[in-house]
Amino acid sequence: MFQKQLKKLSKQQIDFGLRIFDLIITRVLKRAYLNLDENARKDIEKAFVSGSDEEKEGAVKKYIPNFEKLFEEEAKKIEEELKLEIAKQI
Amino acid sequence: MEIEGGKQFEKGKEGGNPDNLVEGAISAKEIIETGVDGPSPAFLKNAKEFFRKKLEEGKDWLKEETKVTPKGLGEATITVLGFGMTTASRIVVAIYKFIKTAIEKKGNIGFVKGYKIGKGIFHPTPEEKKGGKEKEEKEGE
Repeated sequence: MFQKQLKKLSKQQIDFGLRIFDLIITRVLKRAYLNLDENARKDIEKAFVSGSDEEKEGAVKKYIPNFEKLFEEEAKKIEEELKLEIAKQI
Repeated sequence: MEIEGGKQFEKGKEGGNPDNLVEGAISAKEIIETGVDGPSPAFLKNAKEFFRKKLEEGKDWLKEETKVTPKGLGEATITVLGFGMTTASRIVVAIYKFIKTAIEKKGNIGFVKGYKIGKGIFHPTPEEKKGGKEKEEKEGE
């Protein structure tokens, strides 16, 4: 059902979706990062700053095993915050 | 003012349109995110590029069935990324519905004349209508 609705999004709305996706990813990574110890932070930072895609993938698997759960939680928060932001303008 | 049927909004005193509202809200969040403690800007920039690339690799994320690439992150995570864009797009739709409901409650809030809220979500765009017609013609050939 939702997949059909997804196809109806205009180019601009898809761009909004991608930017929201970036926001969620950023929050998930920050949240996961702040929960890591110093060594793990250095490790994941190194993987994402200068590592290959395989190293990035490995770092996600190793340090963010609850990625999906974090993603869902942050997505809900973002949705509410965006609505709040819009409500201020309406 | 009728919204569901796609009728035009009356000319408002401030102008603007719902897309500007969504754009403004997302921009506001993006600005806030840049100033928060955490990983370095280089880490976040590369991470966003990486996850976007993964989205693109899951080429079928806009189609009914999400095909999975059994390499790298593996099935589970690729599925999560497909789910990720689906979730982000669900939020986009939810936000437009939210604006639509707010307008229904408050009436004209100053959108420019002729703007149809959630174009594409609630109403087919002229391009979609045209595309549909062309498709029908091609199928009929």
